[in-house]
Amino acid sequence: MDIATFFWFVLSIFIICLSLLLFYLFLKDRDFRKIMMTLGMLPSAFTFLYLGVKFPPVVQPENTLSYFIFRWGVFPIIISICFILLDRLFYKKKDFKLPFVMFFLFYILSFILVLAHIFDEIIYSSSLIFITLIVVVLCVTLLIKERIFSSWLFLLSICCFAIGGIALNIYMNETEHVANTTLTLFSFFLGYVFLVLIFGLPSSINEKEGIGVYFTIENKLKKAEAALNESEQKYRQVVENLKEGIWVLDKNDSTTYVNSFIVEMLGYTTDEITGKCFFEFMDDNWKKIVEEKMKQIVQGIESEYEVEFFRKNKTGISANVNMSPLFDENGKYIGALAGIQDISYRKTMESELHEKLDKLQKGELATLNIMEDLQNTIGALTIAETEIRQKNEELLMMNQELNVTRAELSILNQNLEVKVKERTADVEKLLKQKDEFVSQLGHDLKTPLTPLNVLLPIIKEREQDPQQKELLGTVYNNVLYMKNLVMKTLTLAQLNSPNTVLSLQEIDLSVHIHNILDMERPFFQGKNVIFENNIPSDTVVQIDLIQIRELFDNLISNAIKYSQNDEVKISFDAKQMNDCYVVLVKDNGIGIEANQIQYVFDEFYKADYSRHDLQSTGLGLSICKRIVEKHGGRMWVESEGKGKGTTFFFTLKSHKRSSGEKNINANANEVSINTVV
Amino acid sequence: MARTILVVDDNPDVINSLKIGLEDATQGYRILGAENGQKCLELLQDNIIPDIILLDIMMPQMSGWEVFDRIKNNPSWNKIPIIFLTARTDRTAKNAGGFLGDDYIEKPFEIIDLKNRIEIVFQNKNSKRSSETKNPSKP
Repeated sequence: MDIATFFWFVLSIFIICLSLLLFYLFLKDRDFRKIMMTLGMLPSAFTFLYLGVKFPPVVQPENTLSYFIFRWGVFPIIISICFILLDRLFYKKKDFKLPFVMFFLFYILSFILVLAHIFDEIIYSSSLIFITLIVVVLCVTLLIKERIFSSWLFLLSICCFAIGGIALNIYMNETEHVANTTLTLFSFFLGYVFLVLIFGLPSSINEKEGIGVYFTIENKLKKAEAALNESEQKYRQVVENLKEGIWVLDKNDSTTYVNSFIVEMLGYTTDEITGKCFFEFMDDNWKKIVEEKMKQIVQGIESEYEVEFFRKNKTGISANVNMSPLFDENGKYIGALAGIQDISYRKTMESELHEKLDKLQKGELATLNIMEDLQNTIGALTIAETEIRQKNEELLMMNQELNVTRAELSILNQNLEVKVKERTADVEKLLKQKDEFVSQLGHDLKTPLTPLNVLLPIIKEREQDPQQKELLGTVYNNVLYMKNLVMKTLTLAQLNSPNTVLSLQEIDLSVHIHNILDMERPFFQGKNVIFENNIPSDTVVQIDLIQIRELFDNLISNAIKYSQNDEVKISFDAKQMNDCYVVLVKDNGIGIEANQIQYVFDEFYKADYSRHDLQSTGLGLSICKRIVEKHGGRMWVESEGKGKGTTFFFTLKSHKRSSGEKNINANANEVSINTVV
Repeated sequence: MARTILVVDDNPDVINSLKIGLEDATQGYRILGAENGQKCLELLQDNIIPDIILLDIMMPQMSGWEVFDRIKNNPSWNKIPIIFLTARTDRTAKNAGGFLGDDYIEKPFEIIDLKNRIEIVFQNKNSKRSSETKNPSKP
């Protein structure tokens, strides 16, 4: 075995160990640069292994997979270095995920390109040189710009790789140059050592700009920064959410920071406040006072005072300012920190309190008055109470009495219905008794009248002495009057009795009147009486024949009795009104005075007492009225005055009955007609 | 032939006045009087049959209705015409008097009126009787 081959193997193993170490470091801190380096190193290990096996390598390319990998193997390490540096220069996010993805894409792309024979010898070499140059440029830029120590190591290692690569190329083209082989091996070895130095040196060597701790320290810094950030955030939040304003000034009294409380309180935005002088937010009077205070602050004396700020909407707001100075390490004044409390609420509260106190004082007075009134009222109430108590006792007494009365009443009430019934029965009984009495009286009078009525005319006839005869005549006339009176009284009593029922029938009034007049006529012979029957035929009315005859008898005899002329004229007429007829009986007699009209139907009323004749009973018109009322009609009288005649009016119902009833009435009337005739 | 009129009334003055009045007004009438229904029936039982009876309705002990009933239920008396004398004015009395008896007259009456009614009853009775006498001859 050749010694060169052995060294190629040693180099490969060294690189594999190195990549394993980096992988281990990646597992520890998840730094993607380390896995990038690991992936970049492993193909180069294969390349060196291939060189060892196929030493010296064939100059003409072979189309085998191992040959392609051999050719490609040196690419990744350079690409990985390139990306790490690029990231360092441009992309400062420090999470390395994006560079890793980019690296991996290039990694695969380059592999495919090599595999697809697109890289011929010239492109391959020139691209290698190109990337190497980029890396060099990047390293130099970083060195100049950021003076990072690790860039030196990158630069050295890439230079080594470059020398190694050139030496290898020469070595492969010109065979059997030991110096070339040694140079190649040595430079590659040195390049990897530099890389190991970048990642492998312990962090203790140089904490600040350490080479070995380059990656780990950065990570720690990142963590610390995050923690700091977090804590800053926390404090900022605390400050922002304070229910008190924080106002930070620099040494020139211009604002460097205000929290949200101030922003809300003044109504300006943070940008509007920041940079402006503290005094710009108050008027001149306050400004003078505060300037005095600021002088104390500069001297290092804390002060607390009240001030009125001007808000953006031009209104004032009272605030309590608690200001303390800030000094740097050297004790130099650098500004002030002010804690500001909104006391406008407190102020209004205070003023309200004052108002309330005033009111309270007034209220107290009022209360005193009320108390006095109350005392008076209570006194009155006490008196009233005793009175009420007395009244109550009286009421109780009354109540007891009332209860007794009520009990009595309820007993009475129970009896009342019975009593009412009894009384009604009594009244009915009395009415019946009255009717019976009148009837009985009538009968009892009629019987003794009979012999008087029979005998007096005979005695009068037999008497020869004209004086005696005249006396007997007077007696007889009185007997006749008495008889008349008795008869009429009985008629009236009968009409008043509820037991008396009319036997109604439908009659043509015109015909009926005619018959009555025919029958009456003989009684008025010798007197000049003219009847005028104007009642139209077909005036059919519902009447009781006997009663209506009585009615007309009375009216006619009245008319004749109270005539003033030799000629008595009585006219009859009837007019239809709705379901009844109004019958008129008009005479040319003495008439009735207006003040007497209302009395003519009264029982035993006589219009003229001076004419106390024996023919008038004073019952005739009462009977007439009762007859009309019994028929369900109305009767009234009209007279234009003394000597102007009288007109009697009465209503009679026209026929409006069913034929069945009509027949029954007709039958009943046949009976009564029979009896009359 | 003198006709016999029996007046039944509880008031003797009525009987007496009728005796005088009817005898004065009519010629040859014989007036008998009975002060109550019982006496009237006694007279009839003594076979004193009047030509007409004037019967008062309202009488103590025995009313006119009862007397009427007895007379009409006796076959030997039931042909005697009866005129009711009544002081009652109610329709039932009038109707009953008119239906049951041959006529009725209301107290107080005029003697002429009574005499006329009696005459009418007699005339009716005679016409009836003549027709009755004729009727048996017919088969």
